[in-house]
Amino acid sequence: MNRIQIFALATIALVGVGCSSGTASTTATASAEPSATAVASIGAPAPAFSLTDQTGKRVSLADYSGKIVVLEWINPDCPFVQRHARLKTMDTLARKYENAGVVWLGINSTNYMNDASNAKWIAANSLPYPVLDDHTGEVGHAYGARTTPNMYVIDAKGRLVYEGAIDNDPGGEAGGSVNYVDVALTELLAGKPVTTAQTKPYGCSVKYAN
Amino acid sequence: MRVLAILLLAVSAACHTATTSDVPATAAAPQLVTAKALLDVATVRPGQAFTVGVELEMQPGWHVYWKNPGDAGLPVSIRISGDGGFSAGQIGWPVPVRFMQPGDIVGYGYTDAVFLTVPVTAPVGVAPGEKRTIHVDVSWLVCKDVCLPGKASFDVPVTIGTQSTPANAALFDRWRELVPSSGPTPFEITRQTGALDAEGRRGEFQFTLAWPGGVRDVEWFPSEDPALAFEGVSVRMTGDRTAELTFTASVLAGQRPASDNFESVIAFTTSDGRRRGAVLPVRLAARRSA
Repeated sequence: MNRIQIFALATIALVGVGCSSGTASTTATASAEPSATAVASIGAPAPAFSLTDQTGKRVSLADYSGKIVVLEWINPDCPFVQRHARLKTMDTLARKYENAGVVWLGINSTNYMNDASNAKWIAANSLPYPVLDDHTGEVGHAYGARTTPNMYVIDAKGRLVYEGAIDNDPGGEAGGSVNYVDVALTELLAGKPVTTAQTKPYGCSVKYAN
Repeated sequence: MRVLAILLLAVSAACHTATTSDVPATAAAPQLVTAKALLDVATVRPGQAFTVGVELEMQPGWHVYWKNPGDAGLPVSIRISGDGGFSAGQIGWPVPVRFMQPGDIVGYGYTDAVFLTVPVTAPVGVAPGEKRTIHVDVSWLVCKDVCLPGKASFDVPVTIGTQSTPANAALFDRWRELVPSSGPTPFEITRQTGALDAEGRRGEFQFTLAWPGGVRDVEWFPSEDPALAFEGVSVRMTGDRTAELTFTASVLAGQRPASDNFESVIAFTTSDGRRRGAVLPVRLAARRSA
């Protein structure tokens, strides 16, 4: 049983008994299970979480039940994230699918950042979506996020249907690259299964606290 | 505190390039990577092979990445072009080191310094005495607490001669020994089990390796095929000269491996203290019984 499944079960259990503490309930994942490359369980329920956005507002995955949700792991100090910000990769995609009801959430698991760092990043890049503070890395570990950017797509039933890279162009040099999240969302909205459900994410390592 | 200071320097350096700040150059962070490009020949005969070497020297604590960067990072890239028909081959990568980052994020790469080599063939339609130039474009991602991209370009003069004459032999030889050998392995594979399951998704693999002499610090570095993920990697010494490698390979959802076989690298240190590496081919599919 891998880390995501354990966390999903633990979270369901905690939510089930009415866990209303402010922090995402991740005690079950605190023991670092050795897994060099955590392979996320495609098709399994996406781990629940509850974090604060750049304004301090609490945002939970459960708030978007019934909707397609995209998670984007970010770190404003990471050159890969900066390159996609310059190219407006995420911004364009988030706006493209906004009318189709797709929810886009940034998550920042960088250990030395906070709500203010996220607010600054959003303002600097005029992002249309919130960035959630996960500086403890708990949600990052629950999802097995390894890089920035590391992308996740959750379907309307709350199942993880895509995990991996934003596109097939780690070096930012290939013309005509394939944007995996764009493809996954198009397939999902057409009622089709996601064909490329998992890719190797690229970027900076997530700068976890532990 | 020192870590924080370096981090701030790095961040301010990044900001420095992003904004047109008027901070004087002397206040900038020390150059994180110093790059050099050189040849293993002083003159080369038309049509003959020679080697371009790229040396990268990193500031203490900073690393660049191997061809498989691990969970994150980006491999060093070298592009070679030359006027008049020079053709370049694949990069020769010395055995990497492994670094564990917080959150169990594994990286493969190089600290301190690395010397990467690229075989190049000189054009045939050139006359001895002619001078040509090859362009070497190197780019890298260098990381410590933060990551920063970097690049360097070199115009390296190539003198065409009636004979190829060597240059920088000691440097090239020293690093060439660190490039994993392919072909017959310097160890015997005494036992090998494992294959992907019937669905071709996942499999546990085990290799027992035996060297003719004593070895230590045996490490395994997996394939760069991005369709594959590895977990539960363990290398256990079972004697002075024997080791057992186990790992689980899985194919990412919706993907197919690039090939039925992948190349991995076994690195080891011989009893006389030499670091060496050898290509360990791994067959993913079960062998068909006749």
